[in-house]
Amino acid sequence: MRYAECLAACDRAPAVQVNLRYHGPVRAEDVDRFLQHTQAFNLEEPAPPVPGQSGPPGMPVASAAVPGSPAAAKESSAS
Amino acid sequence: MTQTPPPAPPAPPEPPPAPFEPVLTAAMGQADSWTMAHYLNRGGYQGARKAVRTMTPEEIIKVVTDSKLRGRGGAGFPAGIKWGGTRSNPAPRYLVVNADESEPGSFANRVAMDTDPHMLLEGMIICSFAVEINTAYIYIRGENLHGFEVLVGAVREAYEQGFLGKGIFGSGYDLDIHVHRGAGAYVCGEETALMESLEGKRGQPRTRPPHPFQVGGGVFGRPSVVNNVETLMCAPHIINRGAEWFAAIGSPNCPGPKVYCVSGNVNRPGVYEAPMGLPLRELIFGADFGQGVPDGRTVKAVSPGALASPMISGEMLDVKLDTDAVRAPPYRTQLGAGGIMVYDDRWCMVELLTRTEQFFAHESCGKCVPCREGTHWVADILGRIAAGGGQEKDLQLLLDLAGSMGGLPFHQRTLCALSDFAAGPVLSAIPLFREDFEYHVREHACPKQRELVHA
Repeated sequence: MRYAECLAACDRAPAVQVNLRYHGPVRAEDVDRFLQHTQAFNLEEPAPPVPGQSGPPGMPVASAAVPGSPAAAKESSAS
Repeated sequence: MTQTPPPAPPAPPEPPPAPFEPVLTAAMGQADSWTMAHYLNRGGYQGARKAVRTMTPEEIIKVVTDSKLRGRGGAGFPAGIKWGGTRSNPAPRYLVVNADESEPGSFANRVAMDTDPHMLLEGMIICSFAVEINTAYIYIRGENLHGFEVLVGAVREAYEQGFLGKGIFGSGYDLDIHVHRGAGAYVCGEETALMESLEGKRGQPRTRPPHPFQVGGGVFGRPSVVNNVETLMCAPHIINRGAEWFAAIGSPNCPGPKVYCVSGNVNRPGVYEAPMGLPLRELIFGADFGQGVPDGRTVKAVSPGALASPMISGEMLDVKLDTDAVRAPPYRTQLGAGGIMVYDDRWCMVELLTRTEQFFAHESCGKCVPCREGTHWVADILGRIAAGGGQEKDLQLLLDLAGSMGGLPFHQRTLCALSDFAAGPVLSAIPLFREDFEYHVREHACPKQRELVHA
């Protein structure tokens, strides 16, 4: 568990980031719940949905090469 | 015999000004607002289509210049002039979107991108076409993984629709967008350090000139436009509704809709869109905005431009939040990206300033002497004062050190403004709240019984 300086999450403060997912506002009692989840740390697996967190769930994380882009073409020609 | 003319009929009452309609955050809170289908349903990508199919680069740059759109990342540089200046230099050119947003207190870009990533992409298409750019990058802070995924998803949808890639909108114009994650450095929000990081190098600022719009000054050595997320999100609306519409919103010198964030000791922290020039008092206390300070407390201090801005006291809340008004005396602060932080009267300014300077000391990249040495020195002295070891002469020493590091207007003693940002809070908080500091050095205790939890 580390102290984070700034997560650009002032609207959800106090905020925590677990496996790179934002949660907030959180209470001191929630710490154990977060720590239990981090024991199953896996970047590919999204955290359970939290009410108030917007955005498409379950997006693949690793890929940054979008179809049609030069980077994707390089990726597909290399594989 | 002369006749007095009959009195003129009373003038009809002026119609009340039309209530402000949000444009940048119009879809906030709506389910699936980030999807292509939702955006197209709201008239999305019509501005980009109009620009690419029916306008010339010169026409687009003229419209954006006439709108008087100024950069929303903090510097407030006129966007049209930046685009035109970059286009006047040889190709290939690049567009770099600064989605780093690492300033404590600032979260407007994060929320806007989560809500409406396609509005950013549309703005990027318009800018890229206007400056004749074929490759654009979005640099997003590494911590914002969710935002990165949203953007990657949106870019993928745009390629699928033919709005990105070869021959977009059925024209002969090609555009590729790459989304690049940062790795947790505040200094990489500075445009030249950002470009270094994007190029795979250590994120440290560069000497200027050459400036980003010139050969040798941009990314990969090419003329580049570096713009904030919100600046580009204004572009589709300017194309769709015209320069005059935009220029009529808010302050005449820096017009347009502005996404403000307010946080700290307010009842309703969050993101609020309003015309540029919203009075600070309205943002903190307004029913549509922050809704006042909780627990019956009063405002002691405000950082009007997030952590980097010189603080103002609770007696200075009548300032209008636009780029120019906050710079004027007696405020002498900066708006930055519009992240307003409110501190109530339970705070001790020594603790607040210590945390602030610890942040800047941590984030200093170490390239320039005044910043590398000054930020740590100032943070150490403040930590010692907070812990009870302060002396009277420390206060003048802090002011002298901060003065050497910089301040507003930018002293340019360092390659980037981090040093000035670290100096500003010191140079403002100590004179404004001298009693907190004097209490600490005299009594070796905190007037508010605060305990500094060391980071």
